[in-house]
Amino acid sequence: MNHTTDSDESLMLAYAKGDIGSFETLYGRHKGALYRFVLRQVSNQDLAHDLYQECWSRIINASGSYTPDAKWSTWAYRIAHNLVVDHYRSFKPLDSEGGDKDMDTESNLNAPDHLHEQHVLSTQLKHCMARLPAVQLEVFILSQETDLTMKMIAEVVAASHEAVKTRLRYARSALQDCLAKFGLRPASTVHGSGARP
Amino acid sequence: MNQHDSDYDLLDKLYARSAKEQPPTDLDKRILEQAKAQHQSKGFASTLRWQRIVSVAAVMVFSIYIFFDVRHDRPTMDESSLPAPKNLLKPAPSAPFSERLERSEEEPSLTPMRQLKQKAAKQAAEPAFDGYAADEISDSVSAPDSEAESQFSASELSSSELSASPNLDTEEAAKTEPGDASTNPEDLLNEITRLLKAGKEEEAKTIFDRFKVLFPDYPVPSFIDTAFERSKSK
Repeated sequence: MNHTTDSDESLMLAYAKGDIGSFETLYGRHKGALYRFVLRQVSNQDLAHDLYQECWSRIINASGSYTPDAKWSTWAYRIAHNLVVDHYRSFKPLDSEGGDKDMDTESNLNAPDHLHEQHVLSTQLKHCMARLPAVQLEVFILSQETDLTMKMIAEVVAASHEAVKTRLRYARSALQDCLAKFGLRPASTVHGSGARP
Repeated sequence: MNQHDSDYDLLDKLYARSAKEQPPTDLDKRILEQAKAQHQSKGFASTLRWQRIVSVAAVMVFSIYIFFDVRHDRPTMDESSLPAPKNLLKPAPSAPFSERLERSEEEPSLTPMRQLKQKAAKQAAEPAFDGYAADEISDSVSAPDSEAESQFSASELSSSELSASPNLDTEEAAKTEPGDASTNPEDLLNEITRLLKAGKEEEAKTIFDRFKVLFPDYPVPSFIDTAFERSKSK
């Protein structure tokens, strides 16, 4: 049965009624984004895998009580957000800067002889993202990985609309400044939020 | 579009190009297996739930059926609801019957029900057995104990034997006599009712007296008690 054109909400409801194919479609559709959402916020890959699996486990267990009152993405990322906050951020202040260097090391960033330019750029971006405060990083990842509006992102992270817009604006500015150090762009000044309405 | 927006676009494009990570396949497999297992356990649970519901419903239906069935089987107090009286007279036992009765009373292995049946049959035999000659009865009574014991053991004395009567014209007796060789309380009550309807109060009273001896605790329809009280007052 082809579920590719079905909405996330209808797929989830179909799975709740017993259609495993619907869940497979839903999983294939969102697995990458949800995986990167968790991976970018934790410093350890094994921990990221555990949290990712736990996130889907909670989604599966809660399928019976799911109601399409909100967008499925909002509901699922809310679960993921709570999981990351409970298991990871309890060991790290939310507003502190990042700087964990497990994911990328300085030596890799300065090895253009061995890496393609694209890979270098990606690595540089990940390095800059790792230095962001957790609350800004989360909002930035959600704005990039999902099609959630600012209002929906505010629901996921349990913050106000204005707070989310401010976090996203500062996250973009910080990334631009960080990338400028690698010679990608000159340092920017803080302007509008540049966020989706 | 200003520089700021173009910077943001560049940032977005850079992120889109770098976002290549995917979960490992074994992790995918574990998650999908968990989803299947959850679905199967939900299916099993829902089946159990339906089974519980159906079982409860079946028990309720059965209980209601039993309740009404028991109520239907109980003797009713309304005279009009009584079934039509039937020919209750059963063939009287054969010539040696009285001897069998004598022997059976001596044997302690008979059950109380059999004793009651014998007693009722004996009492019924007194007015009904006109066909027996007095000498036949006395001969059977005076037979030696050992012979009778060898012929008639407790196991042979079934209710059918007690009520068997090859020598008596049962149909004739049923027409003329109130014959209540049956020890079924319902049958006796039916016979009493029939006699009362026919106006034969004395005969009905006789059977009723025997009924009270045999089944002192059995509930009697109120109209029977009323009929006898009325006849007493006359």
